[in-house]
Amino acid sequence: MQIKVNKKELYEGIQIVSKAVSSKSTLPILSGILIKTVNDKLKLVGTDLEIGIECNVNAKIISNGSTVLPANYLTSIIRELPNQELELKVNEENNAKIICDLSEFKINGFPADEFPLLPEIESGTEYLLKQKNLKTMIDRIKFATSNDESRPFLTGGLLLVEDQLLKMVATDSYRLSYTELNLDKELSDNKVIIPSKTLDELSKLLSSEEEKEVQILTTDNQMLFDFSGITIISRLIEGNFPNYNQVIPNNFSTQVTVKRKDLLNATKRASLFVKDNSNIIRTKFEDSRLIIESTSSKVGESYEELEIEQQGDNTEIAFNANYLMDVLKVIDSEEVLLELSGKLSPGVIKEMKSDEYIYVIMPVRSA
Amino acid sequence: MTKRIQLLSDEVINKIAAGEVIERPASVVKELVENSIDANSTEIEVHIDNGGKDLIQVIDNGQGMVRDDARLALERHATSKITEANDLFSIRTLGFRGEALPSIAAVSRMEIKTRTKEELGGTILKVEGGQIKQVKDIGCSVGTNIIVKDLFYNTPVRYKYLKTAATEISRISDIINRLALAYPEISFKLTHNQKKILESPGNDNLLDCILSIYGREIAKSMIKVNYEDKYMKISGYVSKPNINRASRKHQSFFINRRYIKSKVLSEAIGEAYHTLLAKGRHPIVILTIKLNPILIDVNVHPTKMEVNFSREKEVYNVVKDGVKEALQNTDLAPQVKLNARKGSEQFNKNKTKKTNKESKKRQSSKEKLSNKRQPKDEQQRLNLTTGEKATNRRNKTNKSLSRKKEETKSNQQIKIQPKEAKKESKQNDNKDHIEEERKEQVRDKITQEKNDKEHNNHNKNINIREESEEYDAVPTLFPLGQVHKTYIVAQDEDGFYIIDQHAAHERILYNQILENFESTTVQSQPLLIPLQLELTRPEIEILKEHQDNLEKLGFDIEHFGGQTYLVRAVPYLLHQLNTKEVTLDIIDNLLEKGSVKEPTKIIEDLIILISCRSAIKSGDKLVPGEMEELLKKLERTENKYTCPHGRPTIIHFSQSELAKKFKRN
Repeated sequence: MQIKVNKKELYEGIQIVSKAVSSKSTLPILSGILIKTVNDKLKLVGTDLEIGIECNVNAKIISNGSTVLPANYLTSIIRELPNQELELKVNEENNAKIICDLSEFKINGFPADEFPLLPEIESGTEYLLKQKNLKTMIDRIKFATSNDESRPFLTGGLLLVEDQLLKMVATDSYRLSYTELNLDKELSDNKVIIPSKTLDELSKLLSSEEEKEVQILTTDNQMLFDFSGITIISRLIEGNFPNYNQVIPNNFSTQVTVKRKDLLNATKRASLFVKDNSNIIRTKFEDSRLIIESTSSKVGESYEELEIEQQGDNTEIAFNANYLMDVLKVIDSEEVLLELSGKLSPGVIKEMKSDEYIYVIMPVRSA
Repeated sequence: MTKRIQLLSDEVINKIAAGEVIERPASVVKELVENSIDANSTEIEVHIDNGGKDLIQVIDNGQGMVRDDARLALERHATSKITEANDLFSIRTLGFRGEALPSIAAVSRMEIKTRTKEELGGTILKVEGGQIKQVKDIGCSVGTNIIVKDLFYNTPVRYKYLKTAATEISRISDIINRLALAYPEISFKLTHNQKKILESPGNDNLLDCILSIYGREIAKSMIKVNYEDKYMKISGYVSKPNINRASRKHQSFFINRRYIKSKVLSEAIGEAYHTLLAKGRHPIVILTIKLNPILIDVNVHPTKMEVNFSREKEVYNVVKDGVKEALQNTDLAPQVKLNARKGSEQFNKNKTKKTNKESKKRQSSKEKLSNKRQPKDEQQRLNLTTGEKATNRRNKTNKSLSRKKEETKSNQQIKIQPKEAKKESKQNDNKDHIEEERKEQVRDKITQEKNDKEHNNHNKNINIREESEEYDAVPTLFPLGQVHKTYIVAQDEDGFYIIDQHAAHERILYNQILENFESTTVQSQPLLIPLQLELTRPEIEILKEHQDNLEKLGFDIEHFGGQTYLVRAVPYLLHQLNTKEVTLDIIDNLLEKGSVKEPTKIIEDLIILISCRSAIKSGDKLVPGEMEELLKKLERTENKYTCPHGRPTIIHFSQSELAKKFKRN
């Protein structure tokens, strides 16, 4: 195999697929990146068997072939090379030679046919989405996934197609994040749990540009995302996601509108004293005032007041500050809506005038 | 002089012997049910009232006895199971000593109804305190029906030492569970106060039996073991590594169908799971071993639990290899996700095993070292605090070149010492009373301690206080690096220190959490998605017994039906951890200790558990900044020389000691 390729493009491609390269695997070949000529492009593949990422790079193909090169060395060599065209030659024994200007590197590779093939997904539920929309949805739920391996179904995000809506849900059983998107077209119902690692990589790689699209293909245990010359194939999590509808409260006795930034900053400040141990802040809603307090026996106390629009009863409730800040960071709207039903019931946070995003947070109970 | 040594009466002999075999209701149940099994029963019902204190009834459909046999069975050492001493070496029945029935009869009011297949009518025997009161004809079905009432009515001391009904029934249920696992072809039924506790199907399918005891979730993740070599055959089920417990209570071994305890077997299991499980975690194991009775000696103790192997090494290897093989085979199954990872661990196993052993050895020798050294060191440090050493050193130093430097250094030292001295002496005290100290901590308000300390400082000298603050701000322990990603090496003016990073962090967290816990009320984190637990009977009983205490900690646990419990809220402290595992650990812990613990003790255990789980582990790489931070925090921590489990956190080599080692003078 012999090719010529622009350093910058190759480096970008390598960085993308490296995300899937496993760092700890005992299968040595998985620490490598598959490099393969396909038509007039160079295909790069990385996988840890849980997730696989493919990416195509423009290249001048002089002769066809394929090999697997160790990801860490490849990345560091390419990074340090000057930004110009470089040449890659691989012989029968998978000894690769990278030539750039007057530098020359020889790396020992692995035979390409030992690299696990990414599963071919032929049929399944298929649909197109705006990349930006999917990215927003993922960002709104992925922080709420659990890392409790004893309940694997909570370690990922639920993706659900029903009633012309695309819904995503994640919960670690302390809070739940729900978001939906109108698809405006009839699709067959579909329900899968996507591992949080896949959500992370998608969030990083999906573009925020308005017009770009992503194609999604789902089978029972695999899922494929195809966008901007990148293909991500991910294994899905088995198990039943809990019935999230039961968890989202329908009624409330207090409804409050508050400026998002103000609430976020006040919460941040209140958590400063307590973040090392409990991280519990107490909020009181009294006659259109919101009082946020925190106490640390060691450090001291904090007290904040915010002006709010309040309807309904006065109430108070205690939260883990992180759970509150997580959601306030991903909402864009200037104001947020809080719906509460006393200090023992879950609180709800929404964007103004929209049910597209619902966040449920469990209070902390003090005896 | 009158004769003082006399033969004991039969009654006394019986009571003494009964004490040896019959300790509690569970032993009665065990003996009776084993008899039923030896009588080839296919259905055995056990009814218990009030933990067995009021009633134990065992009904079987076995061979039954003819009248004379029944009468004889009440004589000591009367048995149908062996006839000559040689038989002892090839025992294939559960009982054989002929002690059970008379022993039970001696300490209770007993009623035996029995009929053989050949007879038309049955016999009823009524016995009180070992005396046969009545023998009559009676109509009854084939088999034996034994009722034991008022256990220990004539030995009040034993009665007094019986535990609560809940504890006793959980022990009984333990025994029946194990017998059910050993005899999946027999249907066992256990009721307590008319409530059904266990019903095994008796269809000769071990997995069905496991399901009836442990619930669906666990049954689903069991791996079948089937392995044979020329001496023996092992079969049964072991749990996948993701299902594990903090104690070995859930490991049942059966040799020739007798439940036994054996260190050798437990170790073999540990070895088979080596590297698959974290330290202190154990799989659930139900393993049957069939071997030639000549190879083992079962006549060890009347309760017949401890077994000696005449070929220990072989047994160990077969069990280890068998379980290992089963684990490996499962990993190859295309069930992916978790298994792929497991497989690779297996792959790595031999390598890590070696290094683990090595590091263990190293560690233990280090510990020895530290144990020898530490007291001396402290002594030295104490001496040092008087300032003698510093002045000595200065006197010795003749080179004027370094004189000035030296002076400032020793000045510094002198400044530091008062605080150091206080800490040290406190530390010494603590070592003696670590237990009391800890309890005290739970009870006392820490703030009060703080006040005391401040008060002391104040009394001593204002200057000292200022300086000690200065001392606090500057870390005197300076980290040099990390060894084996486990120990931090650090130095200060007086030599160098090796710090166990996990133990140190654990201590810091423990004190932090405790302080936090003390200063606030109990906080509970309700769950949006309740945690579902499938518990065994003994676990349920212990849970019920401790429900109040658990609620005080912030748990909200609710019965959901059958053996399923829902955890609706967990202590806020726990919420960052893997709550399901921790909750099961806590129940396991309660089960292990058995007795009722004070809530404070439970809280303490819990805090130790949490700090242990949240602390950095050995094997975590630390950057210099992290090490510095850790040491800084450690210096400000009380009881910094031991972790909450009592292991040492710091080993110190003083400068003079180093000099001595290198024969410098």
